Amino acid sequence: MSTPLRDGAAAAGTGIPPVRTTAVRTTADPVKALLHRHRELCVQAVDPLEIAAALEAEGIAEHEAAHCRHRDVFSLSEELYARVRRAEPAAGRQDSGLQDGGWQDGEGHGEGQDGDGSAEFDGAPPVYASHDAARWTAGRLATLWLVAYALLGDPLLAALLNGRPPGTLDLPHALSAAVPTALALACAVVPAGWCARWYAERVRHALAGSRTLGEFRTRAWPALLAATGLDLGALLALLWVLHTALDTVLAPRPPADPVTPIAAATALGGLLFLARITAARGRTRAAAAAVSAACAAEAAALLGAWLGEGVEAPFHGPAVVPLVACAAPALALLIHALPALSRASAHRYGAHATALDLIHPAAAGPDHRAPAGRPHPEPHTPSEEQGR
Amino acid sequence: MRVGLLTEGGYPYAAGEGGQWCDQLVRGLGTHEFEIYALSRGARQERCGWYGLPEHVRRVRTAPLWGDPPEGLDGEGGAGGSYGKRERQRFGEHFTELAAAVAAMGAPPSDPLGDIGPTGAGGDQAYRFADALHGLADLTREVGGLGTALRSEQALRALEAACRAPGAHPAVYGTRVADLLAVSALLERALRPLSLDWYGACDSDRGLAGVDLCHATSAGPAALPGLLAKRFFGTPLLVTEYEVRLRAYYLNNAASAAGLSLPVRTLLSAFHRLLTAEVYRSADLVTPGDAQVRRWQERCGADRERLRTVPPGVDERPYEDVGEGVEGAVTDDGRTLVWAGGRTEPYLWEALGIVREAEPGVRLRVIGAPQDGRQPPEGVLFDENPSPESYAAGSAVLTGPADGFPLPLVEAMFCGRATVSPDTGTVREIIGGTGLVVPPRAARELADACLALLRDPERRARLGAAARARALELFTVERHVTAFGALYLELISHAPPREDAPADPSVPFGRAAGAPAPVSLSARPAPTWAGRR
Repeated sequence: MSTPLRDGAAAAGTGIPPVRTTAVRTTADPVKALLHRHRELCVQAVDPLEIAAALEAEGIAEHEAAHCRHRDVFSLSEELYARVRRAEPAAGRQDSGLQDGGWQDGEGHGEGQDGDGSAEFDGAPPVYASHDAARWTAGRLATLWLVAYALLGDPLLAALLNGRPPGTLDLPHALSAAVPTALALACAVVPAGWCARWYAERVRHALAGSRTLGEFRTRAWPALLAATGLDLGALLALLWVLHTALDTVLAPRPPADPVTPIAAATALGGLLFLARITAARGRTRAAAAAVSAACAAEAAALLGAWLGEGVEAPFHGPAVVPLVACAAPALALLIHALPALSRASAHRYGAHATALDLIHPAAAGPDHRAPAGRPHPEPHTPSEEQGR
Repeated sequence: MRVGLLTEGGYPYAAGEGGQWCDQLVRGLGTHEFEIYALSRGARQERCGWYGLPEHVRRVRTAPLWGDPPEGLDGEGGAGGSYGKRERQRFGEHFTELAAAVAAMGAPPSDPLGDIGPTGAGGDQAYRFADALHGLADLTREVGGLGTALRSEQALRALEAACRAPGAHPAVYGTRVADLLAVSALLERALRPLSLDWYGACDSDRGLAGVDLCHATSAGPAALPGLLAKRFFGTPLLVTEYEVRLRAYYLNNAASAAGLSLPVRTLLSAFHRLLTAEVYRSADLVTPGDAQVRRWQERCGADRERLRTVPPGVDERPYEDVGEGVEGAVTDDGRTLVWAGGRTEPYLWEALGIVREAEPGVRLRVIGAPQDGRQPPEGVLFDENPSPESYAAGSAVLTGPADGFPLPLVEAMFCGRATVSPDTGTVREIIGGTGLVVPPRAARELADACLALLRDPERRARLGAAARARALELFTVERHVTAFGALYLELISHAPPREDAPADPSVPFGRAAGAPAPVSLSARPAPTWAGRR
């Protein structure tokens, strides 16, 4: 045959040999040969119809069915489906239902991109409903207030309690005294982000590895406690180190009781960390409520001290106010979050959007029925609704 | 008559499949009014704009079938994010049934001699699924909030229990919590049509309640609003498929959802099978486009008596000149073959070699661009801008193994050219006796058929003329539109008269011919305590 074919263009190179060849080779059990050729497809298939669809798409379905002495492609695919040897479904699969790439939650995204990782409300909030957005904004404002109070609130409250107007506050002195706390809070952003990521990672592992919801619960709540504890420990250590190092340098007269301010700042850090964790999982209402409660308590204390002239000073100095104002909501939030975040449904936020959009057959390959000379679509706005 | 056209991922969006026949249908049936209820499949599709809509499309309503559930969909019941106790109990009952049906679908029967019907081992599951689906639909219509409920812990628990129950499919025993999350999220998406406000939610907007007939363009989620309209208002439902939605799901599933685990894919496949079966079971008429689609529909549970094949319409006007052989049109030179089968494969080059060995002057025009940089053999031209003339230049047109409706084959028929096609899919049904059919991917047979046609101009002309006549009879847009017009009238004539809608004299069959006349034998009004007015 005077073939004009170039090298490598022969039929043998395609991997799809003509039907006749296989017919000659495998007369004994044509289904077995077919099974061998489509092994991957048959193992992966979850329904005989899936095999039938793939065989038809290849364009050889009827021929193969007739060759295998089946009435149609459906009965052929049922035989294929029944005969293929599958791995035990439960065994050997430790990965999650979704690919790692698609399985990050909103919090992970925010921190990965912004690098803020803070225990505060300043990450990009996951895109959700509008009232959630309002709560994020409120949360940010409340965070600003809480941090400002942590820095300057104690001297202000002390001044008010002593009956001096707020204008007489020794601002440079108060600012320099607040430097260690400010530094510690700023540095604590890094370990807080690390703890949040660690928690998200633990949850991801628990989701992928748990066989039941109960098992997930028993793995999820210790993770939250541990993450919170780690964050608090890191913040406490930072505060302690910075205060001991800088207090003597910056403040000429160190405070009488150094423990309470440190505890108050730690409580603030814990509150913001928990608020961040819960809000990132859609519990914006609880988070906003806790943070707002802390704000309200502090504001009430200031207001009360300003108006009520003869109020007695608290036993341990003014730092007790932020300590109580932050610790109580933080504790309440933790008590709320422990069961709430131990539910698997709390962790679906933002998790599936990317991975699941692949499933829709939007781009199901070339379609012969797709209009070739498609009429020019007019750029309507989709919201247009014609009169009824 | 007012027709509600239910689409998913197609018309009226310009990006998406199946838009063209809907466009032809809507433009062709100008005597009816249309309302379009479209589900979109992605942000990209929504950005790409719409088809131009004619005047008698009265309204278009769209809803996304992707992304997180929109806030407004939850209705008043979902304002707090959850149901009350009674609603939660009702939801639990129905969703447990649904999950159980889905998890048990396709499981090998416990009795090995048990009957495996045409729908697989899922006869019982189909009823459970249908009951649960309708229960959820009723609940959602009354209190809303289905989206939130499907994403709640309660739904996860029900799914988990269903997967562990005896009788569940073996593949779902290994379900992890992440799988449960994925499945419930996907179920929420697929069932989102239940939560839409298309069913006459408020007084001014009657939605699907004001439609005389629902025409769904696929049997998947697009048909769900039709199912509900049939349940709530008794609206007849017509389902048309030119590509089986379930089959497209499987094909696409294999390609792109490989990241999903086996239990997730098993559960979703079962859900889609059950949903498809329920749509076929409930539809008043199902119109496949060809025999292949018909086989799938029968396989999935469609009743043979309610199947009417309506071949798709192809616009014949561009091929008028060539087909009629008017002066100046491209004519058959007796030495050119045209390949209109998409990808060129080596067996084609082999066949060309055999042909050129026997008839050295023969050329092959390939419609499409050259592929993968490989140098084509001698005598091959590429025609990158397909037009009617491309087909007409050939003495015979060769088509490849097409999946679905072979459009190039019909275009060649309209051009009045003899064709050689592989024996796959729906080719035999379309070509009838007006072209040659050879085994797929067989070079020698293909070459023999080409040589037979090239050496016999008379036979070529005869086959070409017969092919054109057949195409003009079966595959024109006019015939397509007329067929659907007749089906609409048939359906509406069987539908019971609508009590709520006033009889409109301009509407044909506004009162059904076969239905009992609404004549009250007693002139006495019903007592007031009977609750009637």
